[in-house]
Amino acid sequence: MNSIPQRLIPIACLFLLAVVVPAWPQSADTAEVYATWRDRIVQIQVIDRQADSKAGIGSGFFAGQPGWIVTNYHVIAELVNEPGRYRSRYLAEGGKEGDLQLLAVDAVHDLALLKTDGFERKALALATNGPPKGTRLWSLGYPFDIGLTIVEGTYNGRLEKSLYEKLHFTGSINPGMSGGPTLNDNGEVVGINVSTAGNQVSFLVPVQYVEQLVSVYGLDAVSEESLNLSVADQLLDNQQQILDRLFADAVPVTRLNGYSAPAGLASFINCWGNSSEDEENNLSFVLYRCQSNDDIYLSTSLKTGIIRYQHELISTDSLGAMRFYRQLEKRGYYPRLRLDGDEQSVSNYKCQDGFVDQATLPLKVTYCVRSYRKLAGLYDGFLSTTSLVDNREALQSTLVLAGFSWDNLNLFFKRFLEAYSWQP
Amino acid sequence: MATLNEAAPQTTGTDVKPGVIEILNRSGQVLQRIHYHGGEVRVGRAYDNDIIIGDPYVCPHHLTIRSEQGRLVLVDLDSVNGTWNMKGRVRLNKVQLCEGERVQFGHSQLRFRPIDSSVVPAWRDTARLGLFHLLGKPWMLPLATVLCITALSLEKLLDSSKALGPGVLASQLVYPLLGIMVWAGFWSLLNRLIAHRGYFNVHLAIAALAVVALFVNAQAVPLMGFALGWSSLVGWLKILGQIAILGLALFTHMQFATHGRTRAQAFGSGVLATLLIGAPMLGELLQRNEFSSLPKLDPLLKPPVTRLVNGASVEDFFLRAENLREELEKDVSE
Repeated sequence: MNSIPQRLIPIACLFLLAVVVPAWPQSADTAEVYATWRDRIVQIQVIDRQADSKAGIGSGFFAGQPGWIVTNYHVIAELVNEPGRYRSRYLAEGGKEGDLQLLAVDAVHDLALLKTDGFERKALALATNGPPKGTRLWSLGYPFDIGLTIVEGTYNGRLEKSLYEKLHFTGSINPGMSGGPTLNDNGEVVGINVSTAGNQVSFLVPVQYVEQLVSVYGLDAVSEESLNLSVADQLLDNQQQILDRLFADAVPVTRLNGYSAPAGLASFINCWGNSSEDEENNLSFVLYRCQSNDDIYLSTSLKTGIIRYQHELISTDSLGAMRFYRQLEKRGYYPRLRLDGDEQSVSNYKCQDGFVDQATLPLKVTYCVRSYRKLAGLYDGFLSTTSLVDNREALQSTLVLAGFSWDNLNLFFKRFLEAYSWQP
Repeated sequence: MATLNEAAPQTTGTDVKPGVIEILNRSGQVLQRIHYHGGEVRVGRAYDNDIIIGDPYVCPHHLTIRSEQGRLVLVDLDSVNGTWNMKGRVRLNKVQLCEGERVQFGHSQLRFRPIDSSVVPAWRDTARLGLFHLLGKPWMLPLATVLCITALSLEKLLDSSKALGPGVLASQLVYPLLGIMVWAGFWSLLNRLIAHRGYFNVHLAIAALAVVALFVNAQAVPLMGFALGWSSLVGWLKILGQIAILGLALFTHMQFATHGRTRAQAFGSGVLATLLIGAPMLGELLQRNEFSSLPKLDPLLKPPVTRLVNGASVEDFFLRAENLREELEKDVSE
């Protein structure tokens, strides 16, 4: 009898495995969760009025009062930014569809409250306690406009290094599922799908903010102006809280050769560093870069609530002073720290520069600010400094802040500058 | 200048006022001036003419000029290529020659000027006057060339952080130097066309010195701006310096190449320099007003030792920023 050729053995093994091992077991719980709660979830569509066609999609769920739907702010942000151009609709399981009214937003926590045109379903219950780490959860939503989908995953606790509170959900949340609920096995909402970092690393808005949203805001649809005022107030409150957290204690500093400069100001500011040599250009770099891990979505072109800064120690062994400082000039100040923004949402930057003699470290400082056009009282700021103590070594820093009041912006920059020092 | 005193002209009528017959080439440059005291003068290529023309398109006996009843008359002698008015549309067989009026024949022109015609004032020989005469000195061009190459090399060196060997540096200077040569060549050509002398060495020296001055302007103004803390003025001062240097260079070129009045030359060169420098700057200024999500700034950084003024305190620096807030409010309200 002829034996099986050796090269066919792996294929034969795979075939046997496919026959013997059953398919991945379908979780009964998942099917049950889907069947039980599917009618509480809707697809949210943002419709371009002129094209009379959907310009964006997301998910939402019934919560709070009858007919109220909660979704993410970023799903319906266009309704706040350009209400004349967009409207919103819901599409429920079973094919029911209708118009939505925007009641309130919580831009900081990326939530929005809408109201249907009379269509009602029983509201989902909101969980009162966070589940223990490792708890199985189910996320529901309409990914890629392909219909209601349930994703089973695991709860992995609150993000410890986030400026804006988020839950870590290990499961595949995809575009279109934003605003959908993530439920525990009792069908209670634990969090709201909001973003993903890929590879099943997904994030949820904690349900407590939904509780705040549905309990605080009124019943009637609001005007564009009052919504913008409301968003501005939320952002102003938020930046005040950030500042209080940041400067409760002395500013920590990091040492870069003889220079001391502000280090990671808080746990939600993540810092990285690296060094490199550019032999061709006779320059050495030591980079220390920090940024807040999160931002606040205001529109496709504008994110706010951002803190980013970097220090770069640049030195040379062979360049003369004039050539070295010419290279510093050419490098510019802002290679990777730019902020978003378009002409409709923010003004142009206005800048001033000058020498600042800070303690033992004289600095050349450039300071630029711009204001938000619709959100009164909010500013973005950009501060660049270059140390002026050595002919062959300089510390260049850039600090970028988005969404701060004028006073807090200046206070932040002052505290930042006051933390610099130099010891030869 | 040849005269026709011995030409024994045949008088055919009352003589006209004495004058000068001018023979010009096709571009209007005067080749001959012959006194005319009356009588008949024959013009052509043959040696038996009163006025001999070396133009192969002119007939051996092409035309005659004579006075008839107090008027000067030109008569074409059935020439092959004819005699034409200046527009070249009307063939002339017999025509009265008016004062200063030109006619074409062959590839030449002819004009009669009375003897009492006014002449333009003498041209200033700028190459021999004032400081300009230095530009014509034999040592000026080598000196300007050395300075120019030094300035261009320094600019390349200062602008680069790489080690630039002589070969690399030389290769980087080829195009700028070619540009200077072309510029000087253009002015030399203009000089030759207008003043019949090229002065290439002078124009090359002017261009080279202008490049040196532009380099000094580009380095000194930012250095001064940094030293005194005038960063915001540096851009404008640099532009003013560039306009002044280019204006002076153009004025000097014009002094050699053209014959206009000094004031007109100064005004023309000033306007031209302002346009040449200002037009691109205007575009840049307009672009600056366009929206950008990046702050538009040119960091001005020089070695610490060049700084001459004290810095502000942190508090004072941010007090000054209140002006920015007012500007922003104005911007947003607009």
